Amino acid sequence: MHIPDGLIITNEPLSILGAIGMWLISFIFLYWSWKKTKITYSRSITSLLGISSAFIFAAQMIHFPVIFGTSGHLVGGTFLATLLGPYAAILSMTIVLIMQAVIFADGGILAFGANVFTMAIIGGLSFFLIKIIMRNSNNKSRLASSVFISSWLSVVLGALVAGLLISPAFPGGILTTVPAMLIYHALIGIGEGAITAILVTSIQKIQPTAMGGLNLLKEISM
Amino acid sequence: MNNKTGIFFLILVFLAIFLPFASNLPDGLERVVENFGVKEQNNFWNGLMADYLIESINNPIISTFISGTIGTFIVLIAALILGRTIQPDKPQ
Repeated sequence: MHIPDGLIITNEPLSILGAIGMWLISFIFLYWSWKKTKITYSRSITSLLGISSAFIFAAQMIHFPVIFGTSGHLVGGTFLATLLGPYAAILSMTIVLIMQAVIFADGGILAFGANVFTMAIIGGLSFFLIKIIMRNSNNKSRLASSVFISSWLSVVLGALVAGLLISPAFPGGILTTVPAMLIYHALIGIGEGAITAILVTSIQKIQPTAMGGLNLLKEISM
Repeated sequence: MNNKTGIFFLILVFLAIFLPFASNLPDGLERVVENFGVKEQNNFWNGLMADYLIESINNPIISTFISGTIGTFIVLIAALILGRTIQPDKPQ
């Protein structure tokens, strides 16, 4: 879902406004996440932040086939949110996106704001959907299904925003990009949901203390 | 979770196992671009290792694995620095 510069910037002036607007919006969210990360955690999250960012970078390289000759890969926003909580998850994914854009040209530089919004911010904020679905339950299957739903939705919402942002590059505009992006990512999102639910429930079983984000579920007020 | 080096190598093992099976099909966004025959404008930045490949290595899997290893390491270090910067003196 990494938008390249060549898709977000077209000959239409509107597209440049879109790219700049997404930079601004993302910057505000990043500033908020930075501030919140500073005050939310009582213990150091540095090690977990390093390891989980590195894992998500590697995991995003593994594309799995979906259908209609299309592949998808784990985005991992919801996964990071369960490990790190929403704020540090947004920062963690942003680090991954910076390196992908700068070193590997995966996702554009002008499109960076858009990519931060569609993957890091929406992914991190999906934490609050898990919180809404879980309420104060400790039920394991409820956790798995809330993680599945939240990660599926984070991919689909990201695709919706991406579809809107790339629409100036398409002759048919929004009416072609949005439905197409939604259909493919509704399918890719099933993979995202399944992988995330499996990862979260396994780590919860093996190393429950590592799930800092889930432990925050009960503490963070909305 | 203090054994960062161990987990870093586990991530590399994970990459080595799954990369040979990774799909080369276009992803959702690339598929939409192809379906509507849209031509991307030129990108002005082409990265240092575009497409996760190192030019001098011919085998695509080894090339991707090495660039992935470099990327994973850089992300790990950058995120650790970020953590230290945000929380300079929180207990472990």
